[in-house]
Amino acid sequence: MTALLLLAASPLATRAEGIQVKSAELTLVDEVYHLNAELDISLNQTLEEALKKGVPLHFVVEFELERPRFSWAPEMVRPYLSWSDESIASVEQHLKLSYNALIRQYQLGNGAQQENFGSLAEAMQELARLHEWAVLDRSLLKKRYTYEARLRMRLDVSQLPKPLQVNAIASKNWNLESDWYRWTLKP
Amino acid sequence: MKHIVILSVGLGAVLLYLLSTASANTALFSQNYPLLLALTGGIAVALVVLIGYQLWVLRRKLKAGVFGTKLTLRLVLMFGLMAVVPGSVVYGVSVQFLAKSIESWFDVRVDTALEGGLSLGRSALDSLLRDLNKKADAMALVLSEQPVSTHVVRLNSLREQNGVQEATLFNQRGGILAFSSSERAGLLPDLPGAAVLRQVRQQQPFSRIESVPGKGLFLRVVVPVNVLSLQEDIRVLQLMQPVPKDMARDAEAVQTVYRDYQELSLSRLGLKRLYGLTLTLTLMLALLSAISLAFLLSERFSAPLGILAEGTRAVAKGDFSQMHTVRTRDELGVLMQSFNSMTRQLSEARAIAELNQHQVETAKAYLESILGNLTSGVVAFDERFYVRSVNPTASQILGEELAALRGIKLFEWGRHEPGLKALAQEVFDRFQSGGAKEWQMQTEYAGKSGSQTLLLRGTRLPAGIDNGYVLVFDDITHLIQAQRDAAWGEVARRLAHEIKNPLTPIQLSAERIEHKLADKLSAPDADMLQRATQTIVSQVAAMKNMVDRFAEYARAPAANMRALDLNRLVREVLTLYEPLGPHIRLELAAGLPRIMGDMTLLRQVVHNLLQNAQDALAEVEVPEIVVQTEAAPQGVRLTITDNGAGFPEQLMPRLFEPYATTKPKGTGLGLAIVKKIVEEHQGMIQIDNLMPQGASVGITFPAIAEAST
Repeated sequence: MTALLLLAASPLATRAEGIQVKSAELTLVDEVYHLNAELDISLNQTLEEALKKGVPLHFVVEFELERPRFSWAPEMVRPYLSWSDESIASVEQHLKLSYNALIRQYQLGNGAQQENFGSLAEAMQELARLHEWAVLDRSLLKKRYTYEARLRMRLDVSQLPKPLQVNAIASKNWNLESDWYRWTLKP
Repeated sequence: MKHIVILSVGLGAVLLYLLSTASANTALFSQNYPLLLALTGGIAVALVVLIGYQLWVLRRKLKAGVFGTKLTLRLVLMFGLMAVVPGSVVYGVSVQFLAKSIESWFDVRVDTALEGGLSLGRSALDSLLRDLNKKADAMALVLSEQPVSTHVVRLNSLREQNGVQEATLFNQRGGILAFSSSERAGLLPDLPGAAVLRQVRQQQPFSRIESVPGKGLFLRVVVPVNVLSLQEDIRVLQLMQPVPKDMARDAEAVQTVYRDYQELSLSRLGLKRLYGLTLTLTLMLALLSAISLAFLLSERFSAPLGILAEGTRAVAKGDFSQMHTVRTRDELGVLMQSFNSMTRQLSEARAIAELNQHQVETAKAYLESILGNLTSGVVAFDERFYVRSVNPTASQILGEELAALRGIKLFEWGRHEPGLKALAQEVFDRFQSGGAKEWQMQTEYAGKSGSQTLLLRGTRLPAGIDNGYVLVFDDITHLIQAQRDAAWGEVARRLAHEIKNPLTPIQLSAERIEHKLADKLSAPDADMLQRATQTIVSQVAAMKNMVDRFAEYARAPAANMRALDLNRLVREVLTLYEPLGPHIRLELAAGLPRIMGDMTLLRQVVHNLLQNAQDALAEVEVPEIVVQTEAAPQGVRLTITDNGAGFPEQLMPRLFEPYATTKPKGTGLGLAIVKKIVEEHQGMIQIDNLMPQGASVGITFPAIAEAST
């Protein structure tokens, strides 16, 4: 507990930790856009300890594609016009990372699928790689427009056990969230 | 206000219920837990604001001095204390208990036991794995000694010999060479990953326990099968064996409990915070609701007091209207009803008192109007002879304002009105000596308008009523005057008769003496005789004349009353005086009401008065007589004014008595006759001397409307 409090008291220690999207791209395979992305995820001590004690961590990957109506506007003004953007696609992927103490393995679940890993590093490596995620159909896009895609990953705090949610309200260590990674798409 | 309090309290209760449900770890609210906390906190803040507002209102009322506010404040403090003290005690105990009980879940022994259980499960699984490993090694050895072509057949028998569920033989690239399974459903074998194959190719066996979703725990062992001939590649044998169901279940149970325990220990602080927060919010909401409700209840309690105070003030101001009752069944309601009935009784009592007072006033006014219209003077005294009431007639008779003497003792009247001193002393003496008996006396009183004869009667009131005295008196001057006039008339008539009888024989005898003796006497004697008889005859004639006038005075001719116009009568009489000169002036008012009167008698009145005026003007250089008629309050007034010598002062009190005269030729009967006639006409006569010289005689006749009654 004291370690937790100490960590909460020193924000410098947590700066390097978190999630960043390193790269992301959409590739067209058979008229369907697939998302491939590389992320950088590092768990802070609090989360790692919780994971090792058997608390499953739920991650949410959110992908959104929008068509800005005022694409000609200067960059500075663009964020203020985001309310007018037309949403084309908005999909989520839920990933569950857990530790099985009996067989000393980390398990990464994605829906019904589950993979076992002998070490946390392996599991994290797998978690940090989004591979061939079919996100939207080609027919939804029109050639003449430029689209804006964005991606982020965050820890779903609401899936935590409630006492830990109370902790999450009080402490920053439980809030793991990447910034939006934005790129443009020209079909 | 009431609704706001009830609403927030109700909302708080709902939120608290939700919060406690959420604390009990149901899935429904787990996602909105922070929102729930925030809402409850918001309600608590709202209640604090509400209480602040209520306090502010109370303070303002206190400053304004609204009745019942102090009681409200006291009740609020009491209620608040009653809520806060037990609440705080329960809260403190609960928090303490909570912390203790949460800490008591975590115990080193439990920790160790769970760790032990887990490692027991692990070692059991490990031993199973080792066992399977040995089997795999043995199988691999057997297979390596057999030619490759027989491997497919040998694999099945070997698997059955060793009691393994599934055995698969791969080449070194992972292609399946042979597959044997005890399961009927001949599913494809679960392939090991490339990394595993690479490891095995380097002669390092791979063994692992795997958890397959939906199937439970599996033991996977992969070993190389080293073929002797150099032409052949090495092969890979994989054995898959499920962990026995009982054991898997037990191990899983241990693992679950271990995980839950770890999770709990990790969230120890969170749990404490969660329960603490829920408890604190519950306490706050409960306390704040209690205080807020305390305000409402206190106001309800003290409201009847305010109404009572208002009612009291209204009664003090004399407003007996019924106050608005508050429908409560407790003593306050009873009190209010009693107050209302008291007010009603007061109001009725006042109405009765007012009625009585009104009756008394009416009676008094009635009595006063009787006294006022009484022709007798009435003065009432209390037992110490203070004047209590005087009727107007008394003042009129005595010619003094007796009302000013109210509250003054009878024997002290003289100090205030010297004219009354003698009368007051006399009356006081009679009352003192008369005791309780009634007395009556006649006395002379020197009033403003001359001497008056008063008839006084005194009575002591019966002791039961007032113990006072009543004095009643009448002015009987006129009565006595009338008696005297009547007596004079009788005297005059008798005298006239008695005197007149011998006069004729005296005259006749004197004439006869002269007739018989004139020739027989000497000239001087005859002359003396003639003068003597002349004197006798003339004196007898004068006496006859005088007796005739007496008779005229005494005669009471029956008045022949009829309606007549006074102005016309005056003009008729004045035609006789026209030759006397222009010094008679007429001032006759037009449109006078007619009077009832005897034409002849009234003519004599005017005639007599004019004669008097004429006589008074004998020695005046510029004589003037004014004859005036005018409307008077009681009727018609005739005034005859002259600027002559006027009446002598010493004669004024006796002007109307016969033989009161200053004139050498007068009989002294003129004014007496006038007065007699005027009184027969129910008129009033008044004589005044004018300054610097002259006199006026005014006669008022009642107008016909009154005279006809």
